[in-house]
Amino acid sequence: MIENLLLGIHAISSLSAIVAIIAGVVLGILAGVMPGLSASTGVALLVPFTYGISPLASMLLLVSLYMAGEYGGSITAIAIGTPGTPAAAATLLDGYELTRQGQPGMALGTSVVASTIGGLFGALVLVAFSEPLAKVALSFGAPEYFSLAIFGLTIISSMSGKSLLKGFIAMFLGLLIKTIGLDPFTGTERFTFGVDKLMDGISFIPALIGLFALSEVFVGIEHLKSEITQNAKYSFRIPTLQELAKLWRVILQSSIIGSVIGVLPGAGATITSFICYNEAKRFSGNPEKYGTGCLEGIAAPESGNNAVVGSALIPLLTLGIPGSATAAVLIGALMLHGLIPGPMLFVNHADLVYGIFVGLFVACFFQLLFGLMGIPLWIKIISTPKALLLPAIAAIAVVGAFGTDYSLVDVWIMVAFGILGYILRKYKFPVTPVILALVLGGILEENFRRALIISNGDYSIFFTKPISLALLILAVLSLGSPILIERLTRGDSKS
Amino acid sequence: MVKSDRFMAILFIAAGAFLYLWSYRFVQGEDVGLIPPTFFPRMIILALTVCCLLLLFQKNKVTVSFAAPRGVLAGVGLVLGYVLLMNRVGYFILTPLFLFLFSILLGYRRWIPLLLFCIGGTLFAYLIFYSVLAVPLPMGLLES
Repeated sequence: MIENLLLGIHAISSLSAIVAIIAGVVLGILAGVMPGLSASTGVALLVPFTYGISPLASMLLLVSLYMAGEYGGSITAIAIGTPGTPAAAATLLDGYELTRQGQPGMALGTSVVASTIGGLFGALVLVAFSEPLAKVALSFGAPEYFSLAIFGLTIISSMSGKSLLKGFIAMFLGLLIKTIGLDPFTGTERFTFGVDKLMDGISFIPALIGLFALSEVFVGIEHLKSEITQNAKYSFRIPTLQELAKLWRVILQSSIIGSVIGVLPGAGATITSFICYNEAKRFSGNPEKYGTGCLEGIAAPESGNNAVVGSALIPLLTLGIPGSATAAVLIGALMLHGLIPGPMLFVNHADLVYGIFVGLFVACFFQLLFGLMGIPLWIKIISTPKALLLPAIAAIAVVGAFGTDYSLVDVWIMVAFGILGYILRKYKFPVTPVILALVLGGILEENFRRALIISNGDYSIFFTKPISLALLILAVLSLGSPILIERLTRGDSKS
Repeated sequence: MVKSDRFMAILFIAAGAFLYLWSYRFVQGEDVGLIPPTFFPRMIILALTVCCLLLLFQKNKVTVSFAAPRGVLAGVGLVLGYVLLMNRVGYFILTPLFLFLFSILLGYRRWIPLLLFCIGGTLFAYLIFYSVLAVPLPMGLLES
């Protein structure tokens, strides 16, 4: 192991490797910041450009972009209430709240540090636990994925604010919207109403931009004349080392969760960030502070979604199975250079593999550096008068939605979700469960039906598989415990 | 003031009923497998309806002013106009105009910074989306 790591250090000890890492981090942050783009889009766009450079530099560029892209999404989530990547939607809950309180520096500082530590943890897991975690990835089948999706959906209990019922309504709304398009098993058109583009279903990115960015613009217009908005002053203060040190438990817990979930093919950073947020809240001594601008609410999803990066590479490199959408694109990059992912990659190209491992650590360092340097810039941007900022967000939302698939239908979807998001927020319905349902709805239905095909209609498959059963029990506990605690607390206060 | 919870619950129930009936129009083959394509949508609609009924009969309903302020409606109108005209007029002509009108609507009156913002913002977005990321922004009138 040590020899291989030394091999990796030697491999990246060149100017081209360091330049590739720096370029990847900068482009990744940019891709993450822009709504409509994401780490996977950034990687996909850059793959063709790596043809002329060495395999190691290519992979370092792309992996660094992946890492920094997951962090970059939190910047706009915190600064303007618009998640730059889907995974940053969880960061928004406390991050943007802190900005509203005039402390964006605290949120941005926490985000970059937590992301860096999460990324380092994920890289460590990649180095130390590739083999055993690859076996875990192989043991996940349709019943396990269905149960994981159920568990993921129970997170709405911590996203629903004061009304769990409204959270459920928002969630079912999201699940219903997710059914639009062609049925994945029979090809039947569902709720397409004759619109050809809807056969592909509702694109997730435009929906996300609409629900968060555009609805935020409309809400911003409504509150524009309010005293709070007019007198908003933003502090440049970033968290001290002592304040960050208090987050160690949340960061460690979320990094572990992120590393485990990241290994699972198809799970990805979005579901991870929500699960990490939920678990941090569940195990917190003050769960009520989540959603009010607490640093833990930022540290949890950010460390989790960056920890995913390292572990998502595990099934990719060891088995040739991507652990996330971005990892799937990375397979294309490897094959472009004539490299076949799998066990033989470790044998025939050990310098490349361990160069990637070491490169991830270096990328984390540059991410921290550029992230901290960028904080004053982002605070300057959000200090722009709202009368200029809101139109800019609206324009970026339109262009970002168009950039998803170069189609105006996506822009219309974005506008529709923007109006829906505004209506939901105006009438005190939470918006986050809609996004969660859009993320998990496909996994839920497909794996439910696939599991029943495998078991020939026997529903006990969900309860006889140990991992599936464990996840379902966790789901019941996850949903039931906040309700139980609330009832017990009400009972205590009455007596 | 309309009890908005009641309004939203009824709206969602009505939408759910419409979609449930629409699901009978799904064109399915003979072999739909163990779980037909209509199963999930219908289960979700039923669950949504149950939740809405619970909300309908819940005490302590939220009451919010029903109407959106005029500024919001104007903002929605501007965005709709921007999207409707995007293909025909084009990004470069429409975007600075959109930014200008929207900022005026929101009460901004410093003309030089506004002009710089409209032109600069358009160019910045062009640089990122068109030049760096190769997103083919609609040219509209400039194309012809």
